[in-house]
Amino acid sequence: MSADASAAGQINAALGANVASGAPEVLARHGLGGKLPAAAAFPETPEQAAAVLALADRLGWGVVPWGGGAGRAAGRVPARYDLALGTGRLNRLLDLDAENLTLTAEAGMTLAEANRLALPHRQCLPLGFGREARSLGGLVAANHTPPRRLLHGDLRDQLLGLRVATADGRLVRFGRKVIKNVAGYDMNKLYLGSAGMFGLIVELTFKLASQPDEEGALLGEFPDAAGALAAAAALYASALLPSFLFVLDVDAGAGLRAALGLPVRPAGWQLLAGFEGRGQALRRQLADTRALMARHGARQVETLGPLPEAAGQCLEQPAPGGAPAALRLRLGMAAADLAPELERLPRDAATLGVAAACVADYGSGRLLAGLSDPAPGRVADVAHFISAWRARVTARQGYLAVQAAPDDLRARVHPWGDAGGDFILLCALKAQLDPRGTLSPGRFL
Amino acid sequence: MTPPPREALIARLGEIVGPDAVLHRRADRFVYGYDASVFRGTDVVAVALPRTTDEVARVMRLARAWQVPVVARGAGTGLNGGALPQGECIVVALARMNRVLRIEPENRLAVVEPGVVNQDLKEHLAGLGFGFTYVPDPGSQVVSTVGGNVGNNAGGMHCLKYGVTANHILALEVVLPDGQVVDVGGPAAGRPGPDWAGLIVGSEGTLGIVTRIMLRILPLPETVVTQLALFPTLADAAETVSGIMAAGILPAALELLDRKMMTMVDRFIHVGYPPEAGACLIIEMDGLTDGMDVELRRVAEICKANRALEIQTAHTPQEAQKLWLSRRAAYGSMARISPTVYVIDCSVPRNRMAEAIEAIVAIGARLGLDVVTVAHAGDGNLHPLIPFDRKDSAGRAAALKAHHEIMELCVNMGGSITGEHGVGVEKQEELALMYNAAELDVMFAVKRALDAAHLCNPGKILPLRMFPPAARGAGPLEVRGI
Repeated sequence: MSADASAAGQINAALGANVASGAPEVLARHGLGGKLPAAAAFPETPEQAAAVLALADRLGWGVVPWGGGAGRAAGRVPARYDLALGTGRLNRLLDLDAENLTLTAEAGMTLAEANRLALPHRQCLPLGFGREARSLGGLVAANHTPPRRLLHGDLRDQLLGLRVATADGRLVRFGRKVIKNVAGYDMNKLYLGSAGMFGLIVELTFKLASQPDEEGALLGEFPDAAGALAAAAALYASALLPSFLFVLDVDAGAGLRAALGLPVRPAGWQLLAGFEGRGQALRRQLADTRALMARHGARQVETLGPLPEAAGQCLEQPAPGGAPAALRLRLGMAAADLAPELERLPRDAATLGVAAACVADYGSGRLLAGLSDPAPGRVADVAHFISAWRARVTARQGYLAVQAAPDDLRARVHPWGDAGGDFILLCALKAQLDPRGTLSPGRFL
Repeated sequence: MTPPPREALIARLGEIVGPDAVLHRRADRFVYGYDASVFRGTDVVAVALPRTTDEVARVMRLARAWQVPVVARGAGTGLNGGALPQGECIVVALARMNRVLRIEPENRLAVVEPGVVNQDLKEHLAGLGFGFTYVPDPGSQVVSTVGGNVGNNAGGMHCLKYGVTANHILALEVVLPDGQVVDVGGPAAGRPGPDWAGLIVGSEGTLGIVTRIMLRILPLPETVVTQLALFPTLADAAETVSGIMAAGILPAALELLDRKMMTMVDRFIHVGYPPEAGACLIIEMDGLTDGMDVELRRVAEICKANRALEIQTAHTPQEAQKLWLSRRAAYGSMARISPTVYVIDCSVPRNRMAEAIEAIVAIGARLGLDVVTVAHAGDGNLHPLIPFDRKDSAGRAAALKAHHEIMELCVNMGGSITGEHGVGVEKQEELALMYNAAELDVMFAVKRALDAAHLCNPGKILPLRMFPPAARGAGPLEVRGI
């Protein structure tokens, strides 16, 4: 049964609290591919969130969990979309245990707020470059790749525990705030990256890191891809400990240089390497890396301090020709495969009349591509291009995820790929954990 | 369904893996009822020793067709009894799948079969001279297999900085209970969807059999410095651990021995600890050479501020090995005094470690047991060791009771019933101390999703009452005894 205009009223009546709205301007903010929900609910407690889900599950509504909205462009338009279930009001700090370096917060808290709270203890949650507005729950649901993961690890390494409202409205908690917390199946790993398909994450516990004493980065500019990539490979194979390592093509590099206030010319390939630490160790890493870049043909090397948030945006969402990308792809592969693919992808895209800007997150094996909007007559060709690239990378255990796409293209390609072991397990678990298909129906499955 | 004749099953297994790779005589079967835990398994139908993924898949399909459970086994060094057969089943021993398939230093990864011994992989990597290693180092690393480490999400001395096995596994090839072979995970970060490889790590062979493992290898650190610090009391050592972490220093390893443990080790290898020492820490720092002296000075200052009696620093790898011997000789020193030592695994918040160890000693004293503790202190991961005589039924009961009470204590302190040894049969009832009925039910949904017929290592991890009677094997631990 789908919800009608009275859905918000039904929720508020059932909960005895004013948590849901059917106001047109609220619904408009929660559209997905032109589809609007009948209501949007913003519970203030985990118990309310669970109660909303229990009601929706009983009534057969389709519910899309909603954090900060950063993931709205991912996934297909939901098959049923009755309710947007937002975590915006679930934003309290529950525990900051500086002595044990852990933080527990509700899922709607932003990364910026978590870091603001940790800073007086000289600690941080190293999931970004600084003060990102994304919600903690959204970052976990999307299995966000932290830019500084070479030093601090992935989200899987930082996440110690979580509390989830299940599709049928039960509240369950897994993991603990101790570092070695897993007993039984490691359910954190199941909810991490599940895009809200198995439940709504309402609370999270993270391991904190010490705030680095100093941070420094180098941006080397190279005349060609070969030099920048060879320098990245050499740095990756060395005993040096970069916290991040990105190679940017000419187009993506120009965007980053502009965001950093550096002259955009000469237009070359860029290698960005970041380091954290103190005194002598940091200075040595910067000096060695500068020399390494020079050996590989860098024409100039700029020294940078801590990166601004805008730089993170340029790295994650490269903009072809300086314009926001209509189509964003994320490809994963072994690090050494990045070199040929980084040059090949824009070449392939160009044959379809599509411009591409690309970034290689070298230490993570990720290739982030921003592509321009395909001409209306080329949508089928671009869909074929995506499928062919997916086949290429999955043959070597890589992946291709469509992070954002125009609606006509979204309908033609699966956002994650619907073959292989990952998909088999996804279907098996979805059938057990959300048998009525309440959560995000049709978005990824 | 009536069980198939044993002979027919053995013959079919022989057709799949070859007659030389099926063990079915009583004496052969008997040894597979044992592992490194204090528990005992039952007799089995047969033991199959496959050499390929295809053979594992065919054994699984045979097991499915005849509804005979399968128990995967590595080197049998697990301490939770997870590899023990608990009823008529086929043991799939993966010892012959022991090839290192690929090493790719440029991608920081290696691909191995599950039967590769952890230490052999490290030596293989060292022999190649690329300057890379596989970090996880459970105490059993000289015999335990990488597949077993994956099954139990094994830890080790260097988890503090580098994480447990799960943190080093990139991808797995798994034979699912229906005989399908699937690949999950991959070499790159940011893979869309749940972390399936992470979910399967630590699932103790209850969701399928892992037949191929892609793991992360890391460049060797430029410098490693090992220190041993002696303290008058346990509380001083524990305060030092908290102090080091609070100062933003992340040692590679931070191990603690309590006074009784030091006494045992001293009797065994004659270290010569001063009598006033009540606890010791082994501190290992690694990283770049530049700035290491500054870090070591800071560590020394924190030790001194917490009344350290003495700090020894190793200047050569040989000296480092000597300092590490205090820790590595811990289990051996206990084996000298008792035929059976119950190695318990639990974790507590780091800042409550001293309080926990004292409470554990008190639990032991109340039950007439002499508890000795060694700990991965940086993680708050404790290993209380309980010597007992398994021939004495009262002693056995006391050891089991102590275990249960220690688990209650750790959970009440905000800790976990296991840090790195897993659940198996040992802690399946204690899992309910950490998780309520709804939580256990959601966990059980994972099992149902992949193994509704309970063919893969049935009746393990989750409390026995959750399983259908046919999947409960030999019954509850207190009935089976230890």
